Amino acid sequence: MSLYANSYSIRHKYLIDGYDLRSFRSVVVGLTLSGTAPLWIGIFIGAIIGGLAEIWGISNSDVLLKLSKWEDRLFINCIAIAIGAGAVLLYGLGALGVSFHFGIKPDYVIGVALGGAIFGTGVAVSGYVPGTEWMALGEGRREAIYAVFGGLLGAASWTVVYQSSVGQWLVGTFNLGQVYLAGKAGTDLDTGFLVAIVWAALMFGVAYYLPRYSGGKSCVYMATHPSREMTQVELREQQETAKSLTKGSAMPVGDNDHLAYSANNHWAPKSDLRWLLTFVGVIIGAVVVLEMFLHQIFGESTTYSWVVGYLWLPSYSYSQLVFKTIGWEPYSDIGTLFGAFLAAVFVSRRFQAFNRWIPSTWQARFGASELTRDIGVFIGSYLVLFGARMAGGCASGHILSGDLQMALSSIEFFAIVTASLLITGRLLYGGTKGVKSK
Amino acid sequence: MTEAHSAVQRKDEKDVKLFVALMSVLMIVVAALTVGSYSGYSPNPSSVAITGFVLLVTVLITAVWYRTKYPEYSRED
Repeated sequence: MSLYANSYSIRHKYLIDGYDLRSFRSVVVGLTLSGTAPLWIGIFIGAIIGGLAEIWGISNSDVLLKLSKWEDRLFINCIAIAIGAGAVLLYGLGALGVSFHFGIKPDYVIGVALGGAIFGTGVAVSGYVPGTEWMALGEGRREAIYAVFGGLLGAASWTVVYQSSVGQWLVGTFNLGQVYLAGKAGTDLDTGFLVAIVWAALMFGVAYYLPRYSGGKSCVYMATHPSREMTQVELREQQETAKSLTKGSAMPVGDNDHLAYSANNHWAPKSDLRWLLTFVGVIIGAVVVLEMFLHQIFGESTTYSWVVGYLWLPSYSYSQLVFKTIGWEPYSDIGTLFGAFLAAVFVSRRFQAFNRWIPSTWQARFGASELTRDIGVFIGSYLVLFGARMAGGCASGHILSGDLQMALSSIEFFAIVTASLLITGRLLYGGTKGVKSK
Repeated sequence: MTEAHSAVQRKDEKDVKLFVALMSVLMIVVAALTVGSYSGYSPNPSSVAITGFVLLVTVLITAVWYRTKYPEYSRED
C-alpha cells in the first residue's frame, strides 16, 4: 500500500467566512492516506466480519428463518447500527479529504427489484445469504455444502441469462446509474456527510425502537437499560435462542468455558458479551469503511460468479466482466469462512463437525427429513445467488456496503428483499402466531 | 445466571487448537506468497485455490478430530 502525504481531494471551494479550510483540514487530518492494499489483506477483513457474525449467530440459518417469520429481528437491529455508524464514518472522513474506493451499484430499477424479490424468497427458504453460507461452512454445518453448490448454480444461471436480450433489458431499463442520496457516486461528500447524519439517526431509531421479539424491547434498549427485567416472553425467547444457537455442536461445554457461555447467551441480562454483541454493528460498519479505504467495498456473492466463470463459463461476457472487477473478494470470502471457523472453535464452541442438524423453524413446518432440508437449502440458495447477481449485489454488497454508502439501488434492494422475505416467510411458515399456538 | 453444561465430559483440546493455529498461519503465508504485492482487481485463481484448499483441509481435519474425540456427540441442551 502506498502512502501519500496531504493528498487532498479538492472538490469544493475552500474558503468559508474567510478561513482557509485546507489549513483546517491539514490540522485535523494531518496526513491523508491513500492507496490500495495487496489482495491477501482481504482475508483479515473477511475474518473480522465472519468471526463477529459467527459469535453473533447469523451463520445459523434458523436466525434468518425466524426473521422471515418476523419472530427474531436481531439481524435488522444489528445491520441498522452498522449502516448508520458506517455512513457517518465514511462520509465524515470523506468530507475531511480521506480517499475511498467507493462502490455504489447502479440502480437499474426493474432488475434490482426483481433480483431483490428473488433473493428475499431464497433467503426465506434457505435461511442463508451468500456470506453466511461461507460462515456456516466454517462452522461445520453440513447443509452449507448444499447451499454453496446451489449458490454456484444460481450464479451460473445469471451468467448465462446476462448476455441474453432479457438479461440486457433487466440491467439496462430505467437505469438511473450510480447515485446515492446526495447525488452522483463519490461527489459532493460534504452534503453526503449531512445526509449521512440524518440517515444514521433513522437507522439508530430503527435499532432502538424495533423490539427484537414481539412485545419486548430492542437489543439496544436492553443493553442501555441493564436494570430492566425481561418479560417472561423475552426470557423464554432468550433461552430458545441460546438453545437454537448451540444445537448440533460437536464441542461439549465445560466448567471453564465461560466465554462460550457468554457468546451463546449474549441476550441474557448478565452476559459478559451483551454490550459488545449489541453494538457489534459499529465494529462491522467501521471494518467495511476500512475495507473501502484499503481496496473496495465488502461483498460476498461475486465470488460465486468468479468461480463458475473460471470453471465452466469463461467465455461469457458476464464472466469477463467479473474477472476484471472482482478484486480481493475471493480472499475476503475465504476470510469470512476462516473467521467463522476460528470463532466457532475458540470462542462460541459451536463447531458442528458436519453433524446432522436441521433448523427448528424448518423442522416445525417440513419435518425432520435431512434430504428435504438439503433440497430446500439447495433451491433456496440457488434463488439467493441468482437474485443477488441479477441485482448486482447481496446482503454484503447491497444491504451492508451499499446502504452504508446510501446508494439508491441498495435502499431499493433492501426494501424489496424485506418485503419478499416476510411474504415468503408468512406463506411458508405461517408467521409468529402459527408457532406460538403449537 | 446459571451455566448449563454438556452431559459429555469436556476433554483436553490443546493439540487440535495448536493444529488450527499453525494451519491458520500457513494459510495466510500461502496467500501472501502466492498473490505477492499485487493489488489490482483480477486475482490469480491458482492463489485463491491453494489458499482455500489449505483452509478447507484444516476445517475437515478439525471436524474429523472432534468426531473422533467425542464420538456420536451432538449438543441438544
